[in-house]
Amino acid sequence: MDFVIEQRTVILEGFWMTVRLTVLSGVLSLLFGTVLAVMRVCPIPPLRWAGAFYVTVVRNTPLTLVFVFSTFGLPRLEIRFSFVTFAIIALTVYTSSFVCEVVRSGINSVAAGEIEAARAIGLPFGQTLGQVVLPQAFRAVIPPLTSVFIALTKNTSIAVAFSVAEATSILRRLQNQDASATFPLLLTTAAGYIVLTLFLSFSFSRLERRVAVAR
Amino acid sequence: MTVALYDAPGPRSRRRVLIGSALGALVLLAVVGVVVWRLSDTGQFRSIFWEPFTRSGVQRILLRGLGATLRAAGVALVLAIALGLLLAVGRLSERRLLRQASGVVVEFFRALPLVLLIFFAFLGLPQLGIDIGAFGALVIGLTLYNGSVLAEIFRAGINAVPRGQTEAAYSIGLRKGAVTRLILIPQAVRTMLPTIVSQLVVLLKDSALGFIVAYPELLRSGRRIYTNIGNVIPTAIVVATIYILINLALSQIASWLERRQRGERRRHDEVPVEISTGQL
Repeated sequence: MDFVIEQRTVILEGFWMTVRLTVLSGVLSLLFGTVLAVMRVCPIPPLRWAGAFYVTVVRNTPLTLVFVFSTFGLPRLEIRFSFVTFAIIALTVYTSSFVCEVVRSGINSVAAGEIEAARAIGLPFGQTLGQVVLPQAFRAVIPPLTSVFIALTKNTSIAVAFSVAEATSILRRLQNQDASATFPLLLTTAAGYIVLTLFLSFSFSRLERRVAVAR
Repeated sequence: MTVALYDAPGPRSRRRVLIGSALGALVLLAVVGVVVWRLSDTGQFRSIFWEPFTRSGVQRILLRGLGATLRAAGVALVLAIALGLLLAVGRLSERRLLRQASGVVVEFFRALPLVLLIFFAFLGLPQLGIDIGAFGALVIGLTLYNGSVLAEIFRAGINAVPRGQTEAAYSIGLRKGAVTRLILIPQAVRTMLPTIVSQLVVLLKDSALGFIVAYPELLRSGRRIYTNIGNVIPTAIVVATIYILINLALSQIASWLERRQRGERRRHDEVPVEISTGQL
C-alpha cells in the first residue's frame, strides 16, 4: 500500500487522462451519433443507407480492432496524430454507433400526435426534427445514454495496449516496477473506475431530473 | 418506425427528395472517393499486401486464431451462464445476506472495465502462486463480466414468469429448490434466449481483448501477419470482415428467436415481456 501512496500523483494523472479521453470522445460521439441518427430517419435514401451501413459495420467490430485501425492503420495512410488523438478517434468512431441507435430509439419514442401536429402546422422535416422531436427524444434517452457513457469510460482502458498513459496503463507500468504491490494497485484502480462511473450516473440522473418536463 | 416524420411527398417534394438524394449520393461518393484515393495513394491495394491471404500458411494462422477466439468465447459463455444463474438465484433468495452479497458481486463486476478484470486474473493470480496463462485470464475476465450481465438478464426473466406457475408448482408439493430448478429457470432461459444470444455478440467482440494479454486469438493472429508483411490495413479489413459476418449471423439468430417467441405469445395470448438488449 505504501507504494500506491508514494505513486499517488502518477495514478491520479492516469485517471485524469481517462477522464479526458472519456469527455472528449463522449462529446464528439454525442455530436456524430446524433448526425448519424438524423441520417437514419431522414427522407433521403442514400443517407439512410449510409447511416445503417456505418452502424452495422462498427457495432459488429471489436473496439480493439477499431483501435488497431486508428493507431496502426492511419499512419500507413500518412495520417499522423498523437496516440491520444488516435485513441479519441477510435473511441468516437465506436461509441457514435451506439449513441446513434439510442437517439434513434428516442426519436421513435416521441408521441405520434406531436409529430403529426408539427407537420399539420406546416413545419418541414428539419424543423419537425429540430424543434419538436429531438428535444423530447434527448430527454427520453438520458438513462440509456448514461449506460453508453459508462461503457465508454470503461472502454477507455483498452488504450492500455495503444501507448496512451491512462489509468490502466499506469497500473500496468507501476505493477512492472513493483510486483509486490499488485493487489493494492489493482484495487486502487478498480476503486477509481467505480468512482468515475458512480459520478457519471449521479450527474446524469440529476440532469434527467432538471430537464424533465411534466407530461 | 410507426409515424413518418415527413408527409407523403407530392410532386414538388418528390423532386426535392430526388435532388437531395443526388446531392447526398454525391457527398457520400466523394467521401468514399477520398478514402479510396488515400488507400491507393499509399499503396494499400498493391498485390504484395493482399496476395498473402491466398497462401495456405497465412490462412492457417487466421483459422487457428478464429478457433482460439471461438474456444475462449465458448468456454466463457458456458461458465458465464452458470455464474449468471447462480448470481440471479442468489439475488432472488429469501436469505438477506445471500441476496445482498450477490447484488454486490454483480454490481462490482459490471462497474469495472473488462481489461481490468482480465488484469486481476493475469497479474493478480500469479502473485498468489496460481498461473493460469493468457487463455485462463481472458476466460476468467469474460466470465466474471458476462456472468454479472447475464445474472441481471436471468433475474428479469425469472421475474417475468407468471406467478401462477410458482403457485401451481408449490401446490403440487414441489420444494423451493425444485420450483427454481424445474419451473422458473427453464422458462426464464427460454424467454431470455434472444437476449442471451445478443450477449454472445458482446462476448465474441470482447474476446478480442485477448490481444492485450497476447492470447493468440483472431486479432492477435492478424497482428502476427501484419508485423511480418507490413499490411496493417488489409489484415485489419480481413479480420474485421470475419468478426462482422459471425456477429451478423448471431444477430440474425437472435432476431429469429425473438420473432418466433412473439408468434408463440400471440397464440397463447400472453402479455409480451419488455426485453432490453444492452449490448455495448
